[in-house]
Amino acid sequence: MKKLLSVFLLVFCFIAAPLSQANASSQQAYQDYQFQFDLYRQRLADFQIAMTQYKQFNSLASQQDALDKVKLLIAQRSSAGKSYFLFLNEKLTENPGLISNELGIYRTIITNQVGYLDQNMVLAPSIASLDDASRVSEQFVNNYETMQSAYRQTVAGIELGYLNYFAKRFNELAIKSQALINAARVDATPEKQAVLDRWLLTLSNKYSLYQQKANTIRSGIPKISGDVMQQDRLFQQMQINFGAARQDLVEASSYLKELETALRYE
Amino acid sequence: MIMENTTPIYPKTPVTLAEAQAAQSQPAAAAPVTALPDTAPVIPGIPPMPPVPPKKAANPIGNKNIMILIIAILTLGIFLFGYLYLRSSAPAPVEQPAAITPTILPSPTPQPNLSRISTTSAFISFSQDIASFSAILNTFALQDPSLVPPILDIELDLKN
Repeated sequence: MKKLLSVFLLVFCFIAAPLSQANASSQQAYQDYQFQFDLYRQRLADFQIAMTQYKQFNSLASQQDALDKVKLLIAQRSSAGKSYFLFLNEKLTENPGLISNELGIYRTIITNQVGYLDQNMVLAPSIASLDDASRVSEQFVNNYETMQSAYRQTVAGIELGYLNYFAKRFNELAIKSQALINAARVDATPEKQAVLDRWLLTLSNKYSLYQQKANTIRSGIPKISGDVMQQDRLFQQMQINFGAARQDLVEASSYLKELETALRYE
Repeated sequence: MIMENTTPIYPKTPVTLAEAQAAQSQPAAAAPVTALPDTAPVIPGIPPMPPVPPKKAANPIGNKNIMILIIAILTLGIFLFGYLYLRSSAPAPVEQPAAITPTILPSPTPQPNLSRISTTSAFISFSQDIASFSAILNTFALQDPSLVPPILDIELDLKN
């Protein structure tokens, strides 16, 4: 009995630990990311001081100190980048509007980038000289634009997911309103029927406008690439499209209220 | 110090005839003259002086003072006239019209009749869903500030 209980507890720990890690809330992930980023800033400052002293004194001690600091910095830089991807992963998990296809795409992006950063972190302890540190850092630099592109595409995907969620709820309400209009036609005058049909048409047009904008955004997310400045420019342009699409949904919800008022009274 | 006798010396009034005749023959004693004689004493060889017309009574106010008085009256009159003229030419105060107090005349708003469908459970749940959807959508912030990507330094100056 005792053996069975201990085995059960052991299995439970092996299963519960990764599950609990996977189910970590986005808030906890964000705090971890902030801690890792603060530590990265601190190690960057330490390395810059050590490197300045090495260039000034050019002694073996200062060289060794600079080498130790750069190894810590390279490892921490990759760790900070990885913690941010883990935070994005939690946000993807919490997003109510992403379809499985889109969710799979962004998870793949994150998985690839986290794997690359892990390799970079593993190389850090084996650095023996400043030349080695330069080569390891160059690998990180070569992947930097791809990493930034992955960040922005995932963030855009998360925002699109929320828009999809609101559009889905709006669609459900529009279907309900159509059913109520059909039920109200029996008692409604021709003028009233015309009013209800007009509102329904307006709702449909507004939703079509939103869908066009959402499709434009969806097709534009993979195009966020290039150097960091170009990525910023494309990302900012996409934020404008997000705002316009959200405004369409807000107006459509106001039309739903008007339709509700028209249905309430004779 | 010798005090002069200031008491006027009046002539003695005659009591008897002899005293009267004596008084007539004696020149009159120096007595205070209170009035001018009606006739001038006749002196032989000198023609009598024509009677002197009685002097006019002196003006108690004075010509100079009269002028000042007249000037003061004229000045006062000018000021008074000017004041009255200006007062008459000043624009009459505009009478403010009486404030119009609006009276509230409530107009009855026609109360629309509720439709048959408004009391159904489907419509009530539809109304509640619309209200919650609008509330969430209007307050939702699409851009999350925590989703800003980190900026990591890539240039490590490792060359000595």
